[in-house]
Amino acid sequence: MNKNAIKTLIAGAITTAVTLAPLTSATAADTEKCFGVAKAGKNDCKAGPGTSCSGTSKVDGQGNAWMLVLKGSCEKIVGGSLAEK
Amino acid sequence: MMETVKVFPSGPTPDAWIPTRAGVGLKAQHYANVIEQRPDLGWFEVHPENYMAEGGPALGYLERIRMDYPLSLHSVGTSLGSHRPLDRVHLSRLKALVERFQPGLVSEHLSWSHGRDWFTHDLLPLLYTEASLQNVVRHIDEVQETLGRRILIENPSSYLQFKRSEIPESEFLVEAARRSGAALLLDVNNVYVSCMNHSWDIAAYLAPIGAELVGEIHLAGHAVQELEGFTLRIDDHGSPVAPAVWELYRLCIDRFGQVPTLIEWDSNVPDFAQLMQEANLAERLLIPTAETLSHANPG
Amino acid sequence: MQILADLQRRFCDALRAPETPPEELLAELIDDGHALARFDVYRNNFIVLNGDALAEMYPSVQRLIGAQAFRLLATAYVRRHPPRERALLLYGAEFAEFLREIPELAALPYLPDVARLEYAWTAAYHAADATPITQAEVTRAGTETLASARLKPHPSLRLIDSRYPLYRIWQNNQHESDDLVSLDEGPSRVIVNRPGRQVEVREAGVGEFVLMRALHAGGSVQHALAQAIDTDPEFDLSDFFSRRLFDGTFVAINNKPKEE
Repeated sequence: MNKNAIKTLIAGAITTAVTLAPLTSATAADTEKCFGVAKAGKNDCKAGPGTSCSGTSKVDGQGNAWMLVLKGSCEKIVGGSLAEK
Repeated sequence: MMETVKVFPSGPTPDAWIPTRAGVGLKAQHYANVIEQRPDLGWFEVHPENYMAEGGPALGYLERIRMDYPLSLHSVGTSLGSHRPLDRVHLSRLKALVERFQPGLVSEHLSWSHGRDWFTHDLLPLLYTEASLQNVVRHIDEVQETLGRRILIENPSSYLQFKRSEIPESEFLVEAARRSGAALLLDVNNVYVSCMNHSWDIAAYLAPIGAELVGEIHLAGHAVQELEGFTLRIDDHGSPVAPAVWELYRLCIDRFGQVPTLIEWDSNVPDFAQLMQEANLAERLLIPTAETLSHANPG
Repeated sequence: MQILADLQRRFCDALRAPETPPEELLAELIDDGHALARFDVYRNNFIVLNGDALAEMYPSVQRLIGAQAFRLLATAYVRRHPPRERALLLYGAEFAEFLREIPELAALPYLPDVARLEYAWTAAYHAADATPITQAEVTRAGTETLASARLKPHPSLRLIDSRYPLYRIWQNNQHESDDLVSLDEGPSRVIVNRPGRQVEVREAGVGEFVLMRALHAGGSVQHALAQAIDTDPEFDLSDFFSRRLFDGTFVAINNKPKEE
């Protein structure tokens, strides 16, 4: 496709987008929604790792042995190279 | 009387003052509860390190919550006791958060976490010698100069002691505060945990601490670990405050006066209602009703 | 100070090592017969607290292999890659690479890609905020000049392509699911973005993915579109712009020529 055709395509796509776009700003609505309905356990409350000033009473197995027993949802993934083993 | 060496006049604005009430450590799990229910709580505390992001919702939630509550910043990452120099970048991030959120209190631990070029993210025990004291005081000075305000230093939970230590922990803490002009954050659970772990006498531990130094109190639950032939208490912030720690808290209020008190709960984090219960318990001990007050002070 | 420095370095080395601490360190501890057990509280804290942070970062990886296997891997990872930052927010950046090197995980070749996606999620969550471009800005820039302009994507944008059905694998591990995913479903291209307060994860067509990658690299709109059409002749720019031009995917229009 030549340069002019690409430019025409872009101009057309932008005109369409400007015409179709809703008049409200995306973030304003989103802010409202999240302050209102963030539910515990939902992704919007997940924040990844953080630090704290406590110790832990969970004890690490301290296992050096590489006995990786894979017991998880990976058994629900089939096909591909797994089938070829 | 203790005299403080330095005075930092540019403290927080009045709306930022931490009231003499109970507060809780704010967890991401509870943002929605706090914003929607606006619980009757005096204040919140967070670790500034958990907000040292370029942007994002966590900062937004904190900003929203700060509109309704006073906030305390409780740092875990400056590594005051480390032999290594403080990190200027970290300090400037801390300063930016202080300017943005106008906390009523800013605190850090009497410990270290930076011994090599990586971080342990655990509060490690300090060597209690004169050289180590000077090092800590230099670092507290640097933090206070950078922030332009007084900070509070917290007594840690500890599990071991060094043979070379020469100064009892609470004397070291008080001396660090006296020389730097810092105040103290007395973690009552940590006092209990450390005293039990090292067979220290609790009354002797508290003896050097003057009431005028204590600006904040922490309460939390701890775990009891039975090891071969002995018991260690681990400060895991994973359960309700232990009865013995409530007892000690009552004693500390008598001794140090009414001090803003925080409930910390960081592992097995409960639902917000249970956290509120703990805070209410603390507040009942902290602010006696008129009857108990008149009972305690006849005439 | 030398004493303090030596002690702290030794302490850190021993925290990280799986072996019994060296005699020089043990000799520094008050010995009530339990010095080693006392030291182990700190070693355990170091391994478990940072391992917990890794589990927070990689919940789907943990689900896929199980909590026990994850804990073993986390312990090894924490020792090999201890935290380098004073904040733990983005701990675990090398985990995908680390997983790739574990021989026992060769049977789960998609696992490192799941880790890449999960890291991207948290990185997007903490990325800088930015305001979406508006219709007024686009109109002001002029429809004609936009072809040679560069559209700056939101700072949170992350693009992940995988040889495996990554999006479906990730989706299935967001909640209890009995769905089977077949690796025969083939490659997947995932776009992670946080235009407002919520991280969005979606599967993209190859054309859209190539376009976004070119824009992300700083290429002009016409350059990016030419690449997209090259890869996917069916790619529909009108449809893409109608959905994405103002939804927070893009935050600035830059008309200045690219500095080489």
